[in-house]
Amino acid sequence: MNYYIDKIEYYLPRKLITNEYLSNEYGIDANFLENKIGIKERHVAACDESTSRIAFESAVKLFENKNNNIDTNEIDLLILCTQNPDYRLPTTACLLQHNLNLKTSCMAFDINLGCSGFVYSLVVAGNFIKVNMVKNVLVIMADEYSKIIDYQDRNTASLFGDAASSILLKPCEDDYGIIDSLFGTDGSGADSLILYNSGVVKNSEKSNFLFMEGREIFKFSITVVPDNVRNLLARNNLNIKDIKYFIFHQANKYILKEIQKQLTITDNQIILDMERYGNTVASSIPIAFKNILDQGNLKRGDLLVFCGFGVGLSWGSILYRHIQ
Amino acid sequence: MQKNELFEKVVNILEGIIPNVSQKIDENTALIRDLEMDSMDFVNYITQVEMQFNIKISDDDIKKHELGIMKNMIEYLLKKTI
Repeated sequence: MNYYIDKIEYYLPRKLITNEYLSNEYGIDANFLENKIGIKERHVAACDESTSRIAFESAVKLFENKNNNIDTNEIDLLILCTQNPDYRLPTTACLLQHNLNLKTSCMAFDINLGCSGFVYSLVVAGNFIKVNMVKNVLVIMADEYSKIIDYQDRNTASLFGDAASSILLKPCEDDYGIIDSLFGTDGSGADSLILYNSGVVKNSEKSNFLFMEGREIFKFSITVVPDNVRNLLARNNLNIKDIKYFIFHQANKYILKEIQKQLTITDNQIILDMERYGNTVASSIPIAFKNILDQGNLKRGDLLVFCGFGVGLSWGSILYRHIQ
Repeated sequence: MQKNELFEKVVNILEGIIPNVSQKIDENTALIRDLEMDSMDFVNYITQVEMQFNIKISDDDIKKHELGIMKNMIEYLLKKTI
């Protein structure tokens, strides 16, 4: 038995931060953001719009779409991937189980990962299906980096956008859905992207806002990530040309173009879809995948690679065969 | 490694970042001023130099040695790659 992505929806908060706003308020070059970074605007949650709220909204979109035909009573497991939970405890997935009126026999827990969170969560969730513990899994990615960013910090101010995405994961025949995955971790780079003072360790010399060492993250992205994809393809006896689409975490256009160059991926194969959202952390891959699905360009049997990478440092790739 | 050889390797790195730029580069070239390199390109440049020569370049060294100027980078690499 294998598992596949049956349905996806995503939710974007209403408030928008445009490049023009960042240029006027903080003197950040709007042309550079649009042409080099590939971002025109990003959505941000309102002050009173919590992570559980945007997660809830994305799940409700999934349930209320009549074409999806989802019976919420059949959801056996809820996984929420976030690094900005409503509270340190209880786990936000428990709040969502209640808010979404899921049955109390539904398992629920959070996964604390950032930009690699989608690929990790999918495989963790899917393995509950593989061992026959559950049939229907709701995986939600939700993050509000706007609440941990100092907009005076040019390294981070323009990059991130808030979003939530919900996925229904179901069993399928062996040769479809997630057919292989390859993960990695290098905690020696933990301080390259970090939110100090957000846990039990306190350091009065460090800012309480998100810190990013851009050069280290860039180096990691253009070295470790292409190797991860190469290794995944090699062990499945596949070449770059065998893949219909590569959906990388939508960090920014410059990084993805460098990865594209390293892997000799064609323009038609690589998905660049951050212009209207920014880097939405774990939601960036599902948003891009949903938009591809809506375009109707995929047929049964097409191969895709999903690759997430970022804070941790943490990374992972999934080889996916489209089923529908 | 000889100075000329280093210069050629660095120019090749720059060519990979800004295509057709090699004709515009001499030892006095200041990358940001003369080639209108932006911050992302510069980050990429330093990263590629680190990878090619298997060295680590700190932010302090970039400032202290003014590594955005070609001749300074070549001198720096001469010392680092001995």
